[in-house]
Amino acid sequence: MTPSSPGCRSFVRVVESFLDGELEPSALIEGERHVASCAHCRERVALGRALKASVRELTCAPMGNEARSRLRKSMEAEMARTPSPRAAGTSSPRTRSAVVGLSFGLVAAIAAAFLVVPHLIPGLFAGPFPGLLAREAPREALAVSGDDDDALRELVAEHVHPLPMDGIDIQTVQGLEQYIGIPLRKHFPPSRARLVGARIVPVQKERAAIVQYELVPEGGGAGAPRRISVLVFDPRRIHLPSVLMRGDSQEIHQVRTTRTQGMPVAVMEDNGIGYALSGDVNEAQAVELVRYVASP
Amino acid sequence: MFLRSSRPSDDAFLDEAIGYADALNGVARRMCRDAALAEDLVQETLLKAIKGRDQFAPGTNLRSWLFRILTNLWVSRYRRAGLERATFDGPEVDPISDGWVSAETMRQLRDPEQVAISSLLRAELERALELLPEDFRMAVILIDAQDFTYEEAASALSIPMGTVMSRVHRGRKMLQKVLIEQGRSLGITKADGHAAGDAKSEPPANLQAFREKKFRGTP
Ligand SMILES: [Zn+2]
Repeated sequence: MTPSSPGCRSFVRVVESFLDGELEPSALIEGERHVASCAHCRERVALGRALKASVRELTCAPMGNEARSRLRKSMEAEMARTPSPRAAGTSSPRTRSAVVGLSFGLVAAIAAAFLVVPHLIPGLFAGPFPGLLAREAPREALAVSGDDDDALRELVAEHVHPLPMDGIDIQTVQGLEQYIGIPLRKHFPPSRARLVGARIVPVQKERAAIVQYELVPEGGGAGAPRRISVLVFDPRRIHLPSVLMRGDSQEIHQVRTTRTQGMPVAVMEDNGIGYALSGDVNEAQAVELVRYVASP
Repeated sequence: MFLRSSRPSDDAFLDEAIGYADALNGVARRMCRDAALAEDLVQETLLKAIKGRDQFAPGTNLRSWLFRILTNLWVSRYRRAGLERATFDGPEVDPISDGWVSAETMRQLRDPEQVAISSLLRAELERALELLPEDFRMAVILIDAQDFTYEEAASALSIPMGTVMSRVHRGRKMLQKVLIEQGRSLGITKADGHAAGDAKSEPPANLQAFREKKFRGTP
């Protein structure tokens, strides 16, 4: 068989799934049959296996005994510090997941206070931790959030150094909805901003999307287009309380603004969807743009 | 409330979790490129796992759960801790195109004695791996070094499975291109006419672009 035969072409399409053991049995058999009859694809597979093996070897970094025993000691100490609520029987699952959800220093203390008296501080949150209280922790999910600043830092970092997008047009962006559980259908009109693409990002313990646009310059100005990035998230699951609590934040027309790493960030919630917008704009523009994208 | 009782299953959990320390450390080392920082990342991962151990559903995949914690920590914290973020933007690099490479060239890139890349190219491979955009690197490492399934990697990285597949594919293509180029420049592989022609018409894996990004630093 020659390397460009139809058999090779269809094998090349699945060669990586073949190498990774991800083929259905029937496709696997077909693949093996092709490899047996094709010297070129045999080399492809051999090189693929060699590459995998070498990457594995390069990634092997066993911990030293000393480091491991340090690690064990600190794990044991942590175990003692945080007795299993199941074993101690003192904490209901609801409280537990809520506290762990925000369990860092001051934020944890504030959260704990709110759990007791959420209604005493009206207006600070859209609701009293609606997501955290109502939702069972999903299997395999753990609150690994630091604080909500992580979410905004992620937004700004994605803006400054965007990674490859998961969706690059209205349709593929919309296809990402299933991963974040909220619609991604509201975009700027073409006269205002061009959709660059969207990417799924882990924020706190949940998924959110960051959608990027290029602003259409007013009056057709030249130069590099200014970009904006919008974090679209489910406010029942992802909380940005420090935006609301930070001394320097202020509210303008239901939009909260703050600065993260020198960049303006405008946050708004509408119709059960949260938006945090940052980019190559000033604060007033960020407010105006987030209001635009958030309003129906 | 002030009980300090530790159930036997707590100890079992600790033992099982620490059993993944080497695997976590290997991945952390590749991501952090700094032994001390990697150990911090592993420690923080395991402490978080201990703290949140009641959220782990027994009988489910502890390894995948631990790596999910690690990658989340990495993304949200360590990546920002002054480390550069190798990104990959724009169409300047298109590793997806599958240039024709002769069987002979592919064979010469391998070690004839064992399932591995030629020992002459391993240092280059290590460097290429370091310079991969980190999202690609993470996907390649989880799949190749930790034997994650695509599904497990998707869950660990909080991305769709199709995205895992495309990142692994692109990551591997970049690594292969670097190997082919380095193999030629080191005279390990002979430039067979067809492949050499391809090399001219195709954009290279562009190690230089990664290096430039690397030294550009963080914003
Ligand atoms: Zn073939």
